[in-house]
Amino acid sequence: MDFEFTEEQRLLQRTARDISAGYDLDYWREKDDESEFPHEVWDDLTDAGFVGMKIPTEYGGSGYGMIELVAASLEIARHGGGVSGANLLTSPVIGSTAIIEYGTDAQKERFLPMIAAGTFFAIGLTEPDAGLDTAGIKMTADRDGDEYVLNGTKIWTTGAHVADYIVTLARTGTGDAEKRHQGISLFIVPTDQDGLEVNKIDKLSMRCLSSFEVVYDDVRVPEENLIGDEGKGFFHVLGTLNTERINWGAIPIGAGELALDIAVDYAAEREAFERKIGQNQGVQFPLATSKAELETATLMLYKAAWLYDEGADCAMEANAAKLVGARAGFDAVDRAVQTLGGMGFADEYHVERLYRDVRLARVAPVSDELVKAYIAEHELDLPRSY
Amino acid sequence: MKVLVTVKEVAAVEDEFEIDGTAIDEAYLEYDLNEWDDYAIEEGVQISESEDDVEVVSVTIGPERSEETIRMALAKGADRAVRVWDDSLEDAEMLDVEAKTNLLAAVVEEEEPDLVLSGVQADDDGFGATGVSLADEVGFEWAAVVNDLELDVEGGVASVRRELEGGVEELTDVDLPAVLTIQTGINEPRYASLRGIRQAQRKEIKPMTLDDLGLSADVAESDLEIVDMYEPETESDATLFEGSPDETAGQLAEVLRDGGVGQ
Ligand SMILES: Cc1cc2nc3c(=O)[nH]c(=O)nc-3n(C[C@H](O)[C@H](O)[C@H](O)COP(=O)(O)OP(=O)(O)OC[C@H]3O[C@@H](n4cnc5c(N)ncnc54)[C@H](O)[C@@H]3O)c2cc1C
Repeated sequence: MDFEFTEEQRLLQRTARDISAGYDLDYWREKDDESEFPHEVWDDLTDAGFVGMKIPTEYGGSGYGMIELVAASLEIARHGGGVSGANLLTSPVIGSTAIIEYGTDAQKERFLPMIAAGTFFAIGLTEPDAGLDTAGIKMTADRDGDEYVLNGTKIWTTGAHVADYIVTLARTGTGDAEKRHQGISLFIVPTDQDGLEVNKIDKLSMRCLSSFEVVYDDVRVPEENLIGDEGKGFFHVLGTLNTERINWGAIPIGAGELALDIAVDYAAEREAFERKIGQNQGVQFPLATSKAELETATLMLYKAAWLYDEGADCAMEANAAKLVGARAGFDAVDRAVQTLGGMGFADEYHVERLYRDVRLARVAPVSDELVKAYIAEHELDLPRSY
Repeated sequence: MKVLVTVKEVAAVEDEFEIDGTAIDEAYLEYDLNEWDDYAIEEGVQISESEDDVEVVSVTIGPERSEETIRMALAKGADRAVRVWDDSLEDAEMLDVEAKTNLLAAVVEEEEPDLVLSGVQADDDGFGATGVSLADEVGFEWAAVVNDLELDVEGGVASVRRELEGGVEELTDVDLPAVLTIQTGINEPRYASLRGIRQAQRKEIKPMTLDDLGLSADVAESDLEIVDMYEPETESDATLFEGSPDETAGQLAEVLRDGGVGQ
């Protein structure tokens, strides 16, 4: 077993670190305060090839795999970007994976270079009445000549305001209760179409990456924007979600490492009762526990990424990596807040933001409970509960 | 035209570290590309992008570990690299300016560049002399602390702006071949791209030993000896003025006058 990164991977990590470290924590604090998209970082990540990380080189991408994506996300998060910084890589990887795996050659030629060049593709799966239960979506797409007409409402579509396209899941079939996973199709919807209305959702986490309710009112989409087979969209999406889960394992781990770095610096400086607080084992041990947990979660993460890159089944590992990553990251940030005491609540010390942000990983893109339900069913052969 | 860029992997210390005799314990050191050299690479790459037929060769003196740093220079656009190292250098406590000058001079003889770019100084030992000393050794023209460069390749002239003490700047024309020591801020160094990193895997890093360079082991001998290493005490001296604005302004004026600032 070889845990060494290649020199090429180390250079890639170094570049991700350099880019992230080019933006200090106050940059992210300001973006968060203003709900402003971090365009500067996005542009740097695009120019360096991180946005097109997993897109094949013949389509303008960098042609790397999930191991490298995870390595990059961990560096971006840890060196300042936190949850929001590393999450910039999520929607490009889901969008491009769907197109790479299920798109036609013409779609690949059209969309993949765009993604690699930094065109934002938002992801519109969740609806007011269907989140984890994706097959419960109600949005309809009715064929009209060589177009589809979409009607319904998506929520939590992150980045809809900066997106040129929304990867949208809608019902094209009957939605028969017996076959609720069928009759769903995947579309790439241009945001400049008539009939789209976006309403911002004020939220706890990732405020610089705003999320929206998006209302589709007779939105026309040309048939060449249907990805994969009509009626198989649900399964196409399932095929891409492991990439999302794996990145969402990396995001909280990197953010946890960042919080830990801040906490350690603080513990080494801050004095109470005439000694550095970091001299107390009561302060050290939680931080040391977190370090061990973050490192352990990182191992699971690389295993999932490695399986993915090998083309092997990685569903259980991707879910497990997401579960333990979210937990380790959340606990690390929580312990960082505790270490900073009152200052942990002041936004200028940054763990406050990380605390709000990292909480998200336990709910989205898939919740702790659903991961456990999946593992219980598929690994432990217990009855399906979802 | 050939541009040779000298790069160095420098050691940086963490906030907390321990000194072991006359060196910092290896456990506390992290290695990175010297900041000034990053600007020198960028300048070299920009020249190759704006002029025809320019080859950018990067050279470093360092053990195998430093290969990663020089590979980064290749990822940022240098065409190929030379890494000078030898078992006999391994044992040297320190490579002083003279040793580096002789090693690099041998590389210059081998490569015959038209322009050598080095950083003004290295972040770790901070001699700030290697570039100029190299120019002297190989008989090239030179300019130090360059913060702007215009190249007339056909005329064989580099028009440079140099940063002098006290914010004064000097404009000079330097005939090629020349050594320029590059100041930070001359350009905005690019990040490597993933494409560049991939291409760099296929670029050559040529290892060169003392033998290859026609040098003997005594090149590393130094008249310099490190006798001590310590952290200087930090001192601060603060004067607090108390009273009304008028009174404190008067007190401040007095201090400034005593210090020789105002008359
Ligand atoms: C900040 C933010 C950004 C987002 N960005 C996007 C985006 O860009 N695109 C997009 O499509 N979506 C996005 N989402 C949506 C996100 O993926 C969903 O919120 C998430 O999947 C949870 O779905 P839900 O809110 O409908 O929860 P529900 O499915 O209603 O679940 C609510 C709770 O019940 C639990 N639960 C449900 N069923 C079971 C069961 N069978 N067993 C045990 N527990 C169960 C869940 O675990 C959860 O705790 C975002 C969400 C947030 C908060």
